[in-house]
Amino acid sequence: MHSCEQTSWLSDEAFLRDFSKKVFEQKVPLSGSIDLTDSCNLRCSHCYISDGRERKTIEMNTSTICKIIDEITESGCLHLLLTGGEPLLRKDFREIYVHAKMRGLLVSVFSNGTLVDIAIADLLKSYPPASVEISLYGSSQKVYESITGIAGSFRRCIQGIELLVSSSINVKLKTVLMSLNADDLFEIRRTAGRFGAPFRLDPAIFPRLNGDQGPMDLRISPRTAVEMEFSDPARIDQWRKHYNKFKGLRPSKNLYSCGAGSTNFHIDASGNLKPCLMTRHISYDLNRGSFSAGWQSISSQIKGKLADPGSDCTSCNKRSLCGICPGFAELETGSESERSKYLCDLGSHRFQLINNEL
Amino acid sequence: MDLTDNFSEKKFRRRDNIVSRKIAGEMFLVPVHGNLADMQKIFSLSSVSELIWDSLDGSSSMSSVLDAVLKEFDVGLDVAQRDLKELIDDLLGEGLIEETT
Repeated sequence: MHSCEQTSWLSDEAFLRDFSKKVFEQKVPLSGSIDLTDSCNLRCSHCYISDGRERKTIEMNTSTICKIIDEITESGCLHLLLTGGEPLLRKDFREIYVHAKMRGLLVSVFSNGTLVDIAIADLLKSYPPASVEISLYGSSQKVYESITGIAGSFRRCIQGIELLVSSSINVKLKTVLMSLNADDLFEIRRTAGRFGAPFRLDPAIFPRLNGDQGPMDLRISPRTAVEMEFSDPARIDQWRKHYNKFKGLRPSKNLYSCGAGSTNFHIDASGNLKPCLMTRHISYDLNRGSFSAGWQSISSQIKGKLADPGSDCTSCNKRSLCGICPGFAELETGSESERSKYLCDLGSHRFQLINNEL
Repeated sequence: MDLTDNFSEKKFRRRDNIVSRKIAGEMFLVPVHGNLADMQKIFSLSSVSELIWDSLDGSSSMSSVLDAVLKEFDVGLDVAQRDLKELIDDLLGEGLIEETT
């Protein structure tokens, strides 16, 4: 008999490996995300959901979302991300959030932070999330609002972060690296440090989900992006570990070698179940059927998608470093199997820098 | 190690702020609200610990829980007694259960 093993989940690698294997073999939808809304109070230049015009999504109501939360829990979901749009715009956020917590889900929230008030901080203090991730697009009003397009949003974002940090909530900060804030990166990182929050950046801007390629104009060169990324020693270490972990691994025969549709899922604001946020064409309407039926449907469709054995990516030794993603490729190139040159260049530069460091 | 008379008569119950989840054959305990210091942890239980956890209803004495373990699993008395005591200590220490009177 084993006594209670605290945090084996996160800290015991042997347990995690064994559990992950079982989850994968049994096709348990362990991790999922739900867009609570497509609406947002900011108008970010790079946003993949909207170009700032009014959207006409028919959003799920409270009872539908809570019913879906019950169903995903029954199916074995443990990690749930509540995102959007801006999830705190939902007047029923509290009800949905508490419902998910009371079902025993480990809930994370992605937010822009500008709507965090004392009531939200108190709610999260009473029912602590796994984390709240907030995008910090700049260290100053000028840079931040040049991206978000809304006057006063920088001050509200900083106040929101301060409220959460002072309530001992596990806050993580991140930024999307783009031409509008690249010169500000070091100050953004310093600001995150001032809050004592972990910080990460992502240079992989992708087209809007409606096919609009406008946001891609904001990308910075892959070389500069990786140099900025690697200016953080901890990040170099993370990439090196990641590379060494997957080095020499045989290429998967499946096009989707990630967890999409195998252990991960995404539900959009209208209630469409998808393998992930990026993959738009495989979908199941949860307004017309159960999560369990939808999961079976999308996971079998994902399983049926095989990698092109002749593709450069399939046998590439840098494929763990580029963030290869069929959904991303489809948005950018129109084909899931097509190489994204930008991701490929990011991977090549990371490979180069990691090996120079070794 | 024998269960002392004192321990064998004790009763414990699961705290209300803990949700148990069974995923891919593994049992997890997830704290959902309460003390912040405890909230970033989740716990996994072995199958024997799971039986004990389910038995902690506030009205079953430790001697009856021990009987249930011995009936259900192929385990010796000494080992079962020791592990029951250790598990209860762990669960109390983590604030997952409380003693009832």
